[in-house]
Amino acid sequence: MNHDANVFYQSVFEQSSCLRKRQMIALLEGRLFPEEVRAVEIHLADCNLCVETLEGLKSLAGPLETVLEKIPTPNYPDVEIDSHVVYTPPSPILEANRPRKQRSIKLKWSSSLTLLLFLISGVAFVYFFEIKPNKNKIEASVSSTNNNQDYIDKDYVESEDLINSAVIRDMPEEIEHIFSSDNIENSLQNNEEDAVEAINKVGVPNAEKEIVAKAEEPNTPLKKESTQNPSEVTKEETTPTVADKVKKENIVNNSKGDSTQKEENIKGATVTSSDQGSKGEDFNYAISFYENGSYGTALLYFQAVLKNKSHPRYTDALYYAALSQQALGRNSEVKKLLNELKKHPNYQKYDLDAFN
Amino acid sequence: MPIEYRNLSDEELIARVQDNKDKDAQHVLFKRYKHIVLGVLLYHLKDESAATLGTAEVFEYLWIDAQKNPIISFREWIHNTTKRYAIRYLKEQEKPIPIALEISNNKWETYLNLQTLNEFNKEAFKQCTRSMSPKSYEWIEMFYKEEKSIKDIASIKQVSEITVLKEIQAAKRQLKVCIHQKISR
Repeated sequence: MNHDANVFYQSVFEQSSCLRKRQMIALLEGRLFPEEVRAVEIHLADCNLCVETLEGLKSLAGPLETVLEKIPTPNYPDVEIDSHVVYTPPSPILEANRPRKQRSIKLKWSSSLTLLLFLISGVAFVYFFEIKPNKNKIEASVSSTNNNQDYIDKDYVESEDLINSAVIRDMPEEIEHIFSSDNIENSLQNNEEDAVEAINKVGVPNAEKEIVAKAEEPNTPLKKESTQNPSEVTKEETTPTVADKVKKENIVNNSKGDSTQKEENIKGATVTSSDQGSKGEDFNYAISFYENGSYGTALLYFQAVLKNKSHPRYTDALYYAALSQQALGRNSEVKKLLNELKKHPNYQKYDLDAFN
Repeated sequence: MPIEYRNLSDEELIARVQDNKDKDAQHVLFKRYKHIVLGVLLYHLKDESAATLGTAEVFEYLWIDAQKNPIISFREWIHNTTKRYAIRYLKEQEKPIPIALEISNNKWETYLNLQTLNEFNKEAFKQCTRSMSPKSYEWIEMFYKEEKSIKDIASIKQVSEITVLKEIQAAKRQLKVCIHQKISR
């Protein structure tokens, strides 16, 4: 950069103080001294404040001095300065135009606070809509069967345990093999026996009966052209449960027989209990729990029904089990159950549009 | 020995207001800048009575603000505060706010000292003048290099003197931004 270039640079970035009142008036009236014209122009080329002033003052009708005299003398009150309090400008516009740094701190605080609130609301949402409803549902089912409270609690816990232990998740293709695992078989069997015993002891309370009766009504998800004979169902459902007990006792007493016979008897007992004694009840209870929203418990009963392919409500149980699984969000299980349902000739009577 | 307030710079006067609550220093600033604040308010508000009243209010605010917040560049402070007053007034009057009232938030301009001619600035200036658009460079060249007056440039370019000043300001700003980017790398 040569000497001229240095002069060029320095003249570009030369800074000077704003025009005085006299200079401004002289500029407006075209009475600037020739020697100060260049300096004033260089300043104006750098200062937008003075250019705006010049433009504003040009609009004045009268002399500048007269207008300046009209400006009231400002009041300068004593200002109490509290070093702990950050001064807030009086206007919201001034607030909005605070330096970026201060605003960014504010923004950071507000954004982190928003994030925190969002997280809390998320946790609350999960708690109230995912955990609470389940609790509410079980509480509702407990209250509806006050006399069977212990049984219901136990049943709920067991059913939940069963579900959690991936009984349904690991379901094989054939539904009849779902319960092939010994542990599952036993727990289901025990659970079923407990349920039968408890209900036989106490009897079905009125509220439960109403729910069952409601469940027996033509189900809304089913298509109207149901081929099922209602009289058959009623007959099956009203089979005395005492017979189950007697049969079970007989099986236990006959335990001295050969092992093959024993196995057959046990199998027969299990089938009999659900086939004759609680054949209809299992399904009705399942429906009542389903209606109550206790899908886990309902599934337990549906599974008991599904163990017997010759069960008159087998396809219904498949359908409702699939609905329950869908309610629990287990899509793969839903798919398996529906595939099984589609193997049956009368599957078209079911409203499969209810599934996603 | 009495203080000669007239000889003090804006920054010195503001320092006296901030440190000593010096009303005399504040009054000198008022006398020095009242015509500028009035002119800016007249330019934006187009209302003489509102502008005269607003001028006093801006200086009242300066008195309070100077004691609570540091004012680094007085010229920038007075310009932005006057503009904010104009925005507030126009909003209250439910009038449209012109684009000219946009407030610059480029704080770097306050601290960018391009008056000091050092090696960095020189090199950056060289590069930036080369990379500038020829149209922008022409305004700079005519005014600073060829030392033509605003009036002459206005007659050459067939535009008003205010337009010439604004074009030069815009070209200078472009140059400053370019130099700032090069220096801050």
